[in-house]
Amino acid sequence: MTSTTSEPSTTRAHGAGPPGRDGTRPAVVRRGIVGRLASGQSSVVGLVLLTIVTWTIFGTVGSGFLTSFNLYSIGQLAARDAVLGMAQAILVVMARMNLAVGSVGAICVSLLGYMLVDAHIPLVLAIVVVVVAGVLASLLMGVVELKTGLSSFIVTLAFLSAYGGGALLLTRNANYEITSSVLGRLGSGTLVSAAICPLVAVAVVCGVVVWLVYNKTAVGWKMLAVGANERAARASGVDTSRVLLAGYAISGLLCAVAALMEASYELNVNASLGTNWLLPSFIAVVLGGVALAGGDITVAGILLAAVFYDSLQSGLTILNVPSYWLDLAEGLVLLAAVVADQMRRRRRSRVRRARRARLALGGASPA
Amino acid sequence: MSAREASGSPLAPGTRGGPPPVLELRGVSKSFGGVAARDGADLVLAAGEVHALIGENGAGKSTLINVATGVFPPDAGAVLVDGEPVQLTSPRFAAARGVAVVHQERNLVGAFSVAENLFLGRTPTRGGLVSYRRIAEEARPWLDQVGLGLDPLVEARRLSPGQAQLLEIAKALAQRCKVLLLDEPTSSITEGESEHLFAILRELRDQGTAILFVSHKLEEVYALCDRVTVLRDGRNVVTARPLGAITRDEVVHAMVGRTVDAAAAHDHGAPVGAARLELDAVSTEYGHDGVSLVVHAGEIVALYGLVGAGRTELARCLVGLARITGGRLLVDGEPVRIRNPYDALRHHGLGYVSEDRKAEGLILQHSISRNVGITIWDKLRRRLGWLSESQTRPAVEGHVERLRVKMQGLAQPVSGLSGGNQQKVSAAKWLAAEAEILVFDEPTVGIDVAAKEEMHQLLRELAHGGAAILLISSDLREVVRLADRILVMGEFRLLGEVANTGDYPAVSRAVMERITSSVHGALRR
Repeated sequence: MTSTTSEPSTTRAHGAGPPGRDGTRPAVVRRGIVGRLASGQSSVVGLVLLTIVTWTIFGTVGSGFLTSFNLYSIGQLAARDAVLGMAQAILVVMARMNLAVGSVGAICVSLLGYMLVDAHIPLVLAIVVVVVAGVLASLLMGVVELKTGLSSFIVTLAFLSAYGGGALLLTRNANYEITSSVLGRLGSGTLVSAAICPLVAVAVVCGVVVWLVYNKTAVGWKMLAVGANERAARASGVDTSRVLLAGYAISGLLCAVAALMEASYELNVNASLGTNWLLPSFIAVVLGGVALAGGDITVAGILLAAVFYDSLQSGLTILNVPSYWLDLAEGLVLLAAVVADQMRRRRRSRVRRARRARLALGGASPA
Repeated sequence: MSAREASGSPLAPGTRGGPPPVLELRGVSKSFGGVAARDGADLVLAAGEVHALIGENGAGKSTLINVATGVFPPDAGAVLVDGEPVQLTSPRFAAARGVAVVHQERNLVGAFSVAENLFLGRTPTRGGLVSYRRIAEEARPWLDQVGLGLDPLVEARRLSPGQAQLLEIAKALAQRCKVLLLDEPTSSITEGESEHLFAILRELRDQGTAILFVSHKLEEVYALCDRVTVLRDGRNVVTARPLGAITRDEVVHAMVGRTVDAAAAHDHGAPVGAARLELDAVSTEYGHDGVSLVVHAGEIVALYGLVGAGRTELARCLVGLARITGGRLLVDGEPVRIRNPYDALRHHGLGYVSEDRKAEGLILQHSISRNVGITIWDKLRRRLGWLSESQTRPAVEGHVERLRVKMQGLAQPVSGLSGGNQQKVSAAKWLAAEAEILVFDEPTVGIDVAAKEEMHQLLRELAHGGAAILLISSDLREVVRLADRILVMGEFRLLGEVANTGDYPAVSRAVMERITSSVHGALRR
């Protein structure tokens, strides 16, 4: 159950379908494939197409791209990036951002290493503590944002540094060799076929949960409302502070999950884990079609964007493209995704303006 | 303040020979979004006069000013500068023709120095670089002319409202304006500052500047101005009459008129229940002082006042969007502290229909269903916070239908609705929430006549059903139609209560009297 946006939910841009000329026509307006492409769903369709094209090109040009070994490792990385993307998206949806995803991950992995290697705490307990720590670490940022009124950019930037440094201090930069076979099987075992890493299932489960939160729970609806128009949400009696904290908590939880995922296949971890998380998290969000302005999320888009991103990385690596070219490509992909996001939004507001103009012509009075 | 005694015998308006008026507006009209088109209004400004422009809210004063300064073109009518017809296509262009305006809300850049603000957009440079020494030097004479003896390099945000006002005037002078339009220049400054401002204005007049003075305060008008134009419903009732030839009563009468079209449809004397909302000597972070009022179940209490009187600000404090700093707020007789609108709704059944429906009333890109249901998600959600559209739909539907929102369906985004329907959605969420104490802030601004009628009907029904309603409105006709009692607010204080007899001219006169005599009250701050 990967596809998570096909539901006619109100969380997506309902904007783009052709409206009836007057207010009397019945509600349902079927959208064709063109309508879908033009609307927010373009990200999902587009990403599927992009990924197919990428696989086709690398499959023919690069040797070894379509092997089960390579697909396995793409899935492994994409699973982590998808979870990171969701951790980022939770705050982006509320018109904020989380620059500290990596540092929260560093805190989590440091605790994990210490508990498993130094303190010999049972795995299940250790996992619970790590998840709780991730939630608390992220919650603290939310509390600081609320108390100081500073932007999430500044707050999470400060904690990016503080938590990163804190993790290094706590562990004295120690390396932890994790020997848990359960974690090992999760990160390096197989699921159904030799080409699928069990972590893919973890990411999908996370995706389903996040989708449920945004489509089927009050707090998810409130997070969307806060992201779309915080003033209006507040004035309408939404407990915006609590909603904000809930968002930070969920984001922290997902950071902890991402840290556990990475630890499960790296096995040899230290506090520097997470230093390269920020860019993939944003790429998954923006490429996945989550509006940077907030108020909108596409879970399937995030998952697909992670797959596309890691396919691209893997393909370029197979073609022996030097790593600095990879960095360059990464940056360009992010840039392109942001530009696409803006074009989408401009288009959407054009559609809205056109509709208002039609309404005005129809005699009803616009505001 | 001595009333200006007649300057000779009454001149017939606009019939002086000699040079043509510096600024003349002929038959100017402008309609807004299908709202009743205005008939033409005239305005004649001669060099060397201070000309008062007065009228009730919505009489068309702002329209005249906006047309005269090129903010928007008129639907009909002409603008003449020095007797020549001109097309004022932008404020910049109007300024180039010597027409400058000082608005109620200041247009200064707080972080810039006084001198920089003075030359904003035309900063003198030396070799492409800004020389602070030079702009300070060049600013000096203009500041002196308005009696501002401060350092030109001080930041503009440090100025008092009165000083800021003078700086705005200096700014206009620096643009070599010959026509100066002042929109309620004394609404936020102290009486001492007003006196100083008037002295400066008289000086400018004597140097030949034509000054238009828009004000609600008749004392000021009589103290300062030479001639007066009164507008009502976008038309001239009095045109360029010398103030020596018209009494205060006549002016008030002209403003209010004798039209009785606002038949009092409200059934006065309906049974009124217990006190629901009470304010006891409340002061707020905005500077409200000693505000006391009561709203009972089943009554509509109107809070009338001019723009900037502090009504919306008071409402924001009531629902916890801003802080109450002193006095007591009581709900059902119990002192309460409301931290935010969540508190207000959840614990006290208090709802606020915002005047700014786009920024604060609605989430435009979200569906009607979401916008109406937002107040009841917490009520509807099942265990673990589960919630679905199929759950909220029935709870939302009834209210949307009751208000006859014209829509394609509940899933339609609110952005696609007309203003009137948006306002209905904004109100519907509080119906859904079953709020019993409701603050409606300008509920009918910018919506068409039919929707307005429906909003009025809704308010009446709510009151009849036992709701306690505080109605903030700048539309006195609306207030007279709906309210049981009318509280008049000015300068963040209550100026008094006016019983609503349903007799529009009488009520209007009583209300205007409270407002126009409030200048003296300014001393008390």
